[in-house]
Amino acid sequence: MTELQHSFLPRREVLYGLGSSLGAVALSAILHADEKQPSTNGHPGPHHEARAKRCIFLMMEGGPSHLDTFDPKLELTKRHLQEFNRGGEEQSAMSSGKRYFVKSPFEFIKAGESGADINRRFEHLQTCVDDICFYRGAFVESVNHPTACYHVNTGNRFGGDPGVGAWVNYGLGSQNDNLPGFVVLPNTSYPQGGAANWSNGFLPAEYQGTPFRPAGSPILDLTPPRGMTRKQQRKNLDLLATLNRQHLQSRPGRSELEARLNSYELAYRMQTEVPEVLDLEGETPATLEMYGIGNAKTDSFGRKCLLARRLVEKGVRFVQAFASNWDSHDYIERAHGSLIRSVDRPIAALLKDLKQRGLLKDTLVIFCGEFGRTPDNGFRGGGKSYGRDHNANAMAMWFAGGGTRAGHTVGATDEIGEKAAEVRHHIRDVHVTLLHLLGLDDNKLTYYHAGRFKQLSQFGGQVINELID
Amino acid sequence: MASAACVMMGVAFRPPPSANFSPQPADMLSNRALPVAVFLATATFVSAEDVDFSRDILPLLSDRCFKCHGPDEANREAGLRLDHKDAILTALESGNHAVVAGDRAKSSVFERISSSETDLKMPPVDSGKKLSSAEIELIGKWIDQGAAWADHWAFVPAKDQPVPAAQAGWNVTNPIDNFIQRDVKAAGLTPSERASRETLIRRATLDLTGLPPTVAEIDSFLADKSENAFEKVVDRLLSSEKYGEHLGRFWLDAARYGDTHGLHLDNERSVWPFRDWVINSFNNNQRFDQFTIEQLAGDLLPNPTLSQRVATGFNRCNVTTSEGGSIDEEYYVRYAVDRVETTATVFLGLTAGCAACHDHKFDPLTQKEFYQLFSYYFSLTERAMDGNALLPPPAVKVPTPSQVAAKAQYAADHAAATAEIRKILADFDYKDPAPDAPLGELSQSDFVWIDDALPAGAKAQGNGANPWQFVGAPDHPVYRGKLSTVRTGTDASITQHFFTDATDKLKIGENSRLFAYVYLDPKNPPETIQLQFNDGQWDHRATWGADKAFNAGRNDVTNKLQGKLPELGKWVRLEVPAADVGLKPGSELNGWAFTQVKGTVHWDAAGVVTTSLSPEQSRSLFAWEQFQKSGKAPGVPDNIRKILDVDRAKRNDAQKTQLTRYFLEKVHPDAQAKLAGPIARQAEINRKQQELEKAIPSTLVMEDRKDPRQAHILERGEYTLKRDPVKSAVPEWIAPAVPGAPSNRLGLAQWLVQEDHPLTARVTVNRFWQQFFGIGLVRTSEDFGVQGERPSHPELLDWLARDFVKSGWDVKKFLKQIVMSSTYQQASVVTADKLAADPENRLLSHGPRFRLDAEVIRDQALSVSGLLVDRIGGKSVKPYQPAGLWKPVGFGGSNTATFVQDKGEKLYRRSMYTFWKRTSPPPSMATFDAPNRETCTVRRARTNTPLQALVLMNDVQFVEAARRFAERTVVEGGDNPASQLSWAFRSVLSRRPSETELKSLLSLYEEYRTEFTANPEAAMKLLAVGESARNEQLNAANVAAWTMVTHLILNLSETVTRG
Repeated sequence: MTELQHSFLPRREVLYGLGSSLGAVALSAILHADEKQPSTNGHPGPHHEARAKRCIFLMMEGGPSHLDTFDPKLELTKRHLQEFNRGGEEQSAMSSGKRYFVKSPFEFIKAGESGADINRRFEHLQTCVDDICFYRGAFVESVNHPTACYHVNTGNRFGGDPGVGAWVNYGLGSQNDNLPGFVVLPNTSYPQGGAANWSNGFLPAEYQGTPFRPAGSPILDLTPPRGMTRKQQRKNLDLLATLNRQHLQSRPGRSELEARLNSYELAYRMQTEVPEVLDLEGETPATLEMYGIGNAKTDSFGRKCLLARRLVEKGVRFVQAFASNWDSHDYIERAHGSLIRSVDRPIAALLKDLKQRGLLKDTLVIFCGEFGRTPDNGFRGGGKSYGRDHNANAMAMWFAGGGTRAGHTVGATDEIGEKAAEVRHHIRDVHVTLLHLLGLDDNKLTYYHAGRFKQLSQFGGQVINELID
Repeated sequence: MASAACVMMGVAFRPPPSANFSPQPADMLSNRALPVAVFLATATFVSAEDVDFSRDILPLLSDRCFKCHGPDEANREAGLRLDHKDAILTALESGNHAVVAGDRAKSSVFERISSSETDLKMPPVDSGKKLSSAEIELIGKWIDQGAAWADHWAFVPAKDQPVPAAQAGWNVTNPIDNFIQRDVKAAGLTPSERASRETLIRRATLDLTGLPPTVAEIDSFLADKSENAFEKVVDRLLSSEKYGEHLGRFWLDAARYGDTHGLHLDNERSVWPFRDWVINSFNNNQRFDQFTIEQLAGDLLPNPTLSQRVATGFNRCNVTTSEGGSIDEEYYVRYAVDRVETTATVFLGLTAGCAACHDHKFDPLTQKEFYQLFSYYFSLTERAMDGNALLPPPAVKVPTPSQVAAKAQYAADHAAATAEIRKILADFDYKDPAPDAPLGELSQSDFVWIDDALPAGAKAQGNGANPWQFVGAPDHPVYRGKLSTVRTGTDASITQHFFTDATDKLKIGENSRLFAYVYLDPKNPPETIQLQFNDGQWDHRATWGADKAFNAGRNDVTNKLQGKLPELGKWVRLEVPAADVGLKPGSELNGWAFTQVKGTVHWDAAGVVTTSLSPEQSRSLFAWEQFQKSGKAPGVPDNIRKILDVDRAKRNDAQKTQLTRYFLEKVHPDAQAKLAGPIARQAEINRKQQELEKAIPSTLVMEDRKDPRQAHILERGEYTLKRDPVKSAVPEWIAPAVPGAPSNRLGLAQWLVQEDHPLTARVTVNRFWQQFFGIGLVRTSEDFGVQGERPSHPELLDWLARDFVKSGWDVKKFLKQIVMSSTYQQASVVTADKLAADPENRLLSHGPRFRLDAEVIRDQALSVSGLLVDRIGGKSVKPYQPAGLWKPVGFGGSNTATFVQDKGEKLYRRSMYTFWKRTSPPPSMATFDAPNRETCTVRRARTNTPLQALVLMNDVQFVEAARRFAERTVVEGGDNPASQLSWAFRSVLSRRPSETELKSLLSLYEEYRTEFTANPEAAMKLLAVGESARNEQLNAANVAAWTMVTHLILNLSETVTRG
């Protein structure tokens, strides 16, 4: 779809190579998107050879604890329930009262040939660790859910900017004319911050994430009106195209007409293509079982993971799947234990399935939340019902495929896991790295808006080379 | 060809920077999406002419250099700034000079930009920025030519530009044409013909009212042979009320109008009377300067009218929150920042937001100046937390005209009843039957409010699944009636059953005493029992036993201690004077709580005890007087009390009369019987008045605190990092402060609308221009700063701005001038030559053409279907939207968590009245690029996506519109299919169908008619789409077939385009 009628922005180097009133040029492209000539090379990217062609972003909303998943801290076991004092800077709105170190209630193992640390409860994911690059050096800025979600998903804490997937599609375009290039798989209850997490922001509307709703019609108005057959619809579209084309002939150069014809055709095709992608009937029972579909605990996220695979197979560039409720302030063993169970099998299945289909090598899979969790907690239930609070200084994150360093753990947090300490990078560098792997240069992937060229990292960042194979 | 281009540039004609009209190398032409190509030409051939600093150099410096060598002091490298005339010529830290006028060789700027050494090269290699060799040459040339400096065009006041001479033989209506045609001519082009009358009326009607013309309006225009026929159409449109709606709709984007708060719960808020104010303001053609002042500071005008206060809703439309744990200070800052950004974007055309964190990188706006503007908005009486309320204060009531009339009527009726009462009293011949008898026994009466059931309207609440346990004998003690209530406390915490919201309220009189009967279980006595009374709040309590219930530790009206527990194992009457628990006479209870700590407690018969005169006694003025003096009677007004205090013998006649009348009216049963009629009428009027008051809408307004909050410069925009304090002030480098103007928002508004302000009028006329031509003269209508686009027609922009101000900021006059211009009236058909020379039509050598806005597309469909409701203003409505859109974004407890679709005519109001939930804007609007209204938007994107096609093809609103449109086609379109089709075509496109269109659509119609005749079930299904009833008199197969055709017409590209 995108190359047919999308807006075109000249590459930045082209702009700089030719002196002009930059804002004017860029905006001419942006605002008169539908009057632009279609271009076969209508996207700023790729800027260099890509390691990944597509991306599946597993967004664990609520802030999974790094300390209870992939970053065990013996020191916490030693100091369990000793009083903890936090510096003023780390105060959060919820850190009132006395606080205590808490150990992880989970047992950790060293899995795979790489000996990666992993909570034993990840029964399935532990068999995939040699394909995973765990990263312990990332941090964000905000300890509030919506702002941190916006930060991770759009690069801007306050929302309003394009989602990562919108940037990627703007940069590279779609690979399937029958489907949107950026598909979001949210829960019925949207993450904090809502649809702004996958907004097109200031980019043209076609780059926005298209949420496939978990129930009911996945895309709005996808079904023809009652009483109108598909044949009749086709007949109408054919005549519509003829009449539009006649109109076009009397108005040479009106490319927006051509673009509109194409968008009708894509809309028509989406009516069949989208339900087909969603129809899991064609998958074998073994595959369904592998993803945990049919099991009440894993069904929901299993469907998302399987759908993600089906979508990227069909050429969708960026799929973002949301799992929610990782906000375990208390009873973390019960809460995280249950969440791990709900995503463990589906994610492991996704990695294995991608691998067996030869897709993992050029599909970047990312797992992360909006922040990590604290090594300490209040004295809940006398230390029995403890959990962990929000922590922007460290987080749980890993990558697989798409040119990342399989079987490695990169970076480290401090001895109590409070802060990223080694290979320490702001989330913006994670964004820059993600773009880099997809063949995009964050400094070149810009868009003129509200007085300046904007980019995913906001003001530039660096590639985290340690993560790249 | 190349030399032609540079000659062109040397003469008066200045090319718009992005207009691609000059000859280009062939490979550039191959990609028309690169209008930038023209600049290669410009730069290459620049040697033949003078360099224009403002046009050629400032944009380069701004983009490549200002980030490190610009206005932002904190990030300035090497002490060098290139944004200031003096600075570029003074010696650097190194002793060299950045620029030596007239000599590029001595200028370090040139040395550095032309260096081939990576370490010296500017801009630095790692900055990602570059200067091309043509650009380097351009800068060298500028230095050689004397390095002339000029201020950025937009910051210099608009000049009275001379109107260029008309081009011989070309059609000139007004000065707009003189300016436009001069440049068309200079580019070697010619203007287009005037558009056909059909095109013109559709264009003007859509542009001025947002709706298509009706067939009757088209016919009347076509039939009008007078010379000013089009002018008559324009005047009619400008005086139509739909004009105000349409103009207002654009303004609502700028005002970021929405019907919810935007953050967290995203509850409903009421600021729609502001929306209606905007509509009225445009319809009344309010002067734009006044329009500005009232919105920014209407509350600060002397004796502001209600309407002027409503106008200040403009800056209450911002997104707010009430999320627990939010920090007030942070949100006060955030709200003020949003208001500065909005004000700057809408009136100044500046991207002020950058300066919240640091000095603006490109424009001269400093961080200090930003916080001086911020200070204007930092001292409002609003609270940081909106309380998730419909009307977070300050708010005002805004009665509609009919409500104002009703109010006046009620007041008159009330006065009439009062007069009648006076007359009855005056005519009542009263003599005290017992003028000297001492007061006998008084009667006491209990009014039982709670007995075997709760009072009407009460909402039963309390601890436990079933908090109100009514029980009966013989298992339980009962004092009165058949039931009592029982409750057993289990642990140390307080437990209770209670209710609120009783509509049948308990009135508290003078000396009222509240009572309740209680039975404490001797086997399981409580530690504490407590009665709590709610007159709107719960802070009225009486406590018996240990002080362990609510507000323990205090002994005041919120927890009046009554001593030990009553005796166990028997019914005891608890009684407490209402005054002891802070309940004043006249107050009314709507709730009551029975509270305890531990134990088992039965409660029964609760209410209020009053003392009164017997009917006999109440016929005697003297008896009543004694009763009053006993201190047990209900209160009387102060003036009556004062008369009572005067010795009986010493009262004058006036006092006697007044006292007697009061007694007769309020106490004497016979007099009261006579007064019953007018008194009942008054009660009814009071009830209606209360209802009316409730129905009167309210809207959010602005109001300043009496003690202003001190604003500070905030480092990096962080509310915690306060730096120097600042006072409210305007950035005087834009325009000097208005002498004598107050240092508040009113002063700010007056500053904006002063006559020679360089920005306000330019920015405003440019936005109007954009509305009518698709692109502004300055394309970046939100950014007139150095990074924004320069105007395509600078002199015209100045002329329009001056003309607008001199006309008295007359919007209708201004718009009429645009619409009447020959430029506007040109046909939009474009030739290949023009397209090659000026692909974006910035020169306006032909009429503009662009996709309609979201609202217009829907309103057009509703209008032609006959469904559109023709009413202005009112509360926002919820038309169709696909199910389940609000639920995913809704927090539990949000009052917009569930979408409840409206019914009836609310489905067919104009789109500007659609309820705008910010976290889930109306989906079909959003699909067609309507903004989410979270921040100010002065220019929408115009995209073209398959999701739009899906809306037009499948959305119930459009399919229903098609089917009702089909019915109209059958009924109003004449007696044969050809004339019907022609009517349908004209309703939407104004023009008649061509031969081929007619033929193909008619044959489609016939095909469908056959299909639907054979399959009546399918026809009925199609005709059942949407909630409006179908016209059953019409043949279903015919209408279904027409529906397919009208549906197709509504999907035509031409339909969603204004050409």
